[in-house]
Amino acid sequence: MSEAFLGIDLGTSSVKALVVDLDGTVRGNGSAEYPVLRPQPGWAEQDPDTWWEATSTAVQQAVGWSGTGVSISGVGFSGQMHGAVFLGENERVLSSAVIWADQRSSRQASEVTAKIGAKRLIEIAGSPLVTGFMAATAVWMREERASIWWRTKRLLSPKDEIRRRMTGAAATDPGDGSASLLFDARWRNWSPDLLDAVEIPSILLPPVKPSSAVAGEITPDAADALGLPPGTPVVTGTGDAPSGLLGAGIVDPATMLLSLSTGAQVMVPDDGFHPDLAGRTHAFCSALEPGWQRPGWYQMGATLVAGMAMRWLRDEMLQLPAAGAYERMTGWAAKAPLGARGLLFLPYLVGERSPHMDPGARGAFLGLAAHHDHGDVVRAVMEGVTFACRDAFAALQDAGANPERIVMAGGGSRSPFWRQMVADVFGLPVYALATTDQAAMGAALLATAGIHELDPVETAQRWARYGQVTEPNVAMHTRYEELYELFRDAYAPVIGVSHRLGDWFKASVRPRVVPRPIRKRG
Amino acid sequence: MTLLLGLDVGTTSVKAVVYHTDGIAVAASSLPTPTHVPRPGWAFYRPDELWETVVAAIRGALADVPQPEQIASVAVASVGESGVLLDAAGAATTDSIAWFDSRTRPQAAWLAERIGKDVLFARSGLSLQHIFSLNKLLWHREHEPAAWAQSVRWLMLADFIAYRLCGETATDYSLASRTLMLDLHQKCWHEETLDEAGIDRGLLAALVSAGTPLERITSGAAALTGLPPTAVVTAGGHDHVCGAFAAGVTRPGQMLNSLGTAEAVFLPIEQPLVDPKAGSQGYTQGAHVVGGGYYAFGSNYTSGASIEWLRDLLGASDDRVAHAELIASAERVPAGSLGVLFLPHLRLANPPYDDPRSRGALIGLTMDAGRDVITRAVFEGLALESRNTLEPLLAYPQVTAPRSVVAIGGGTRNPLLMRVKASVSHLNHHIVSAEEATALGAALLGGLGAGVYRDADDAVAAMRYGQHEITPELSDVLVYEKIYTEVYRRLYPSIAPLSQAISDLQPTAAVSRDHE
Repeated sequence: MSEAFLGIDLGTSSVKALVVDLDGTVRGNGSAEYPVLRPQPGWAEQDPDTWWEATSTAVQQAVGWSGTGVSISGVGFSGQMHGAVFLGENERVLSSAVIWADQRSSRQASEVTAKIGAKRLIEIAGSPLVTGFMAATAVWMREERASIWWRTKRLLSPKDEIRRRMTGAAATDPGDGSASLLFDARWRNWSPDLLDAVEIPSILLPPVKPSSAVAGEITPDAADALGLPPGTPVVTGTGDAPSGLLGAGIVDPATMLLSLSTGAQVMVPDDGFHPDLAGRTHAFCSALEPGWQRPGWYQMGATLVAGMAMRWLRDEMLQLPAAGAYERMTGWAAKAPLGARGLLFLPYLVGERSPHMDPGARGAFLGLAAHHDHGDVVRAVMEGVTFACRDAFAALQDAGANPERIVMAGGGSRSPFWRQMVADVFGLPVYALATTDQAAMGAALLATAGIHELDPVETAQRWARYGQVTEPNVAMHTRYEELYELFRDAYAPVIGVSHRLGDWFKASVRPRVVPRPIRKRG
Repeated sequence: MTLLLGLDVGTTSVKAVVYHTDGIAVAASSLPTPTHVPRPGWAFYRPDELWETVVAAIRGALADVPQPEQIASVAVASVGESGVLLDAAGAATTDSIAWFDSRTRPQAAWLAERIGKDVLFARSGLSLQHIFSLNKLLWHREHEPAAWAQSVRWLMLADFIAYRLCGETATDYSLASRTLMLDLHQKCWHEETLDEAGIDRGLLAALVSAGTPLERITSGAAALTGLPPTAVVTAGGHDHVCGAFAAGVTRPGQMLNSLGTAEAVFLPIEQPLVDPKAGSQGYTQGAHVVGGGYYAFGSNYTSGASIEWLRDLLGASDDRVAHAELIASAERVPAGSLGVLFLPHLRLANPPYDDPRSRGALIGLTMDAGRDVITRAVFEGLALESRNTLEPLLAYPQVTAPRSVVAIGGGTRNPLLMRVKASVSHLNHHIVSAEEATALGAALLGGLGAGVYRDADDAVAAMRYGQHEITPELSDVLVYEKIYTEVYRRLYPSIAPLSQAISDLQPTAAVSRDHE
């Protein structure tokens, strides 16, 4: 019977489970979806019970796929970051979890920031505070839902809640912890200063353990639900961003991860903690305990809208049947020339994080002309999304990042057309990550390294697999740089009008606006 | 029973429509306008081919008229600016340059130098553009000296067709308004302009009011067309001005909004605008076909074109059901389209902005902006843009603010668009579903010449075409007022530099507003 590890990644639209052997080969995988609840415009919630049920389904699928010849020696975790789960007496869930995409807490975020001081907050926590982050959500709960807040005994991030259900013990790790913005990223632990300032008792927060440390064992009840042997060790794991870095084999500052799925992230490992005091990007703790050639932090720029824009185009605007739609769309786009015959797309459909940190931003098509057809529109959307990533990257460069190559992951990386576009826009070679689900891979890797006391850096390098490299075309890069300059210039004038529109709309919202659930990825 | 024939020589088609005196069409025929495009930017008509097309259209319409001898009159409406040079025998000496042809830019530059833009505006009421007839005359003189030497008369297209029908030459004030040679204030050919440009006064036809009877159909034309030799040919006019007459828009205080591929805002005025700023803002003006007054005019160049573009993009272009569903779904979106805003500059800016490099925009997009929301946003953008074209005109002392709007054209069949327009403008929209308003206007001018109607008011009063009223929805009026004043008016100025930069990055040929 061969030995394998289970990596679980609790994502935004689904949970993925991977059974991975000691060589990093995937032996089984499973996934299950759950909805994002939008009870009011701008709100985004999920029910932890649906996470748990989906996790159980995904784990049983993955273990089932891997067959009877495989035994699970340990479990690792990865998950969506920033969100908050409110637990009361007897660890009962008090309300739906408020996830990262939630925008209700903008007032709280600015008040907390003002109280602490924007610069000081970044110096401690590595990032500005935006809506959907645990620190802002918790203050919102105290101010707007006091009955829930005063019964709250425990605040957990999403994946930590699932681990708690599995092991009976609450814990977090530096990576996910620092994403709450209640953390001192320098010292890799909860920040007494920040907790004092936002008046959140430290007793609500779980203890912090290294990502590859064993956090507990599977309880008999959980074992029944998951179909795993009781007593199986479970490591702490980390947030999906740092876990994805490991799973993609990115453990040095010369390599950048560009993950293009619903949103996009650009991430570069960092040997030190170098927050961007302008607040355009995040510097958070990685899953590695800092050491020689072991970057303990990473720089991240996150754009909120990437594949989401393609999905919007497919489902809302063009209303194409989902089967084969993206292939059709990229086929059209490939026929349009660079620059989509003068059509520019700003992808801020749900606001933007890096570099603008502007929840009020809205999307736009600019340069519209009567000659623009489907191909131009799709190409403009892909270029706009790529420029937004380039924009986030520019902020990382300002904070000192200087990578020589890009590893591309996520749904967008499967399109050769998009990979070439990324190579040309950034002017860097692009390696397509062969592994899908790099965050779940990172979770399995942390379990493997933790339980066998392996070096996670060496294990990550050994496990990662890439497809063919895509080299940038210098001539295209030059033309994209011109367009990118326009893209950058577009933000200020358009966003002025967008903000006015947003303000007008908020003031005019009537009950007849029916909330729509976010559609699942097709 | 008396019948009237109206002819409409348009950019895309030549139409012949036979009407009862109450404006109801009894027969119609339409043929594509034979246009030749020898190279990008150039286009011309062959006068004889055009005449043959008109003859074929008339014969096509008359095929459905049991008693053609009941036709009392014929008049022609046509595009402006284009005309035909004739020799002493009445034969065309050369091709007719299409009104939108851009070969005459050097001639316009020469006129700017020779006479000056402001002087020309003061005389003709027009902001100098290369499309106006005088440029075409100068081009023929310069490039076709042999044909020029043979030429003894210049006729506008409508006049040329009337001449072929009855043997008389005349030009009405509305078409003369598009030549750059008319003294708009005195309503005579401007002697100084003609002198300075070196054009012989004798080349131009006598000026008459539209609706003036010219002559009966010649026996030759009667035989060719099947029209009765008793029918009177009267002076017609410029196409959209004829359309305004047909819709009953003849007096200050009224406004016509005609909704086609492009959209026109047309306001009758007593006296011409004298501030050259109006010209530089992209407004134009001319003599009305009835009432002795004038009109001020602004276009939205890509109005229906925006809706067609949207339909193409959303895959509902050739599908009536899909289009109706799209409109129905847009009806359910609240006014303001969830904060999505559309700027319809799909080719260039509209008055009051003179900016051929402006481009369209769709901004304020969120994940909730589905096709229903975007469709409504496009309708609202068109309505807001119309208002934005109208309001600066009202600042001129010669212009009377309209009390209501008469709407004609294909766009009036879109009920949501019309409701949005009524609420955005806060004006009742009186929808006139005249069949081929331009041809009807010509037919009514013929009826005036033949004595069928006492006067223009009598003709309008006789109309029995379908009419209905769309009123503003008060709650929406408030919403749109806020969007217009606080957001929309800032939209173009905010993004104009960006649109211009985008436009400059494109290798495509420059567009300009005269490609209307």
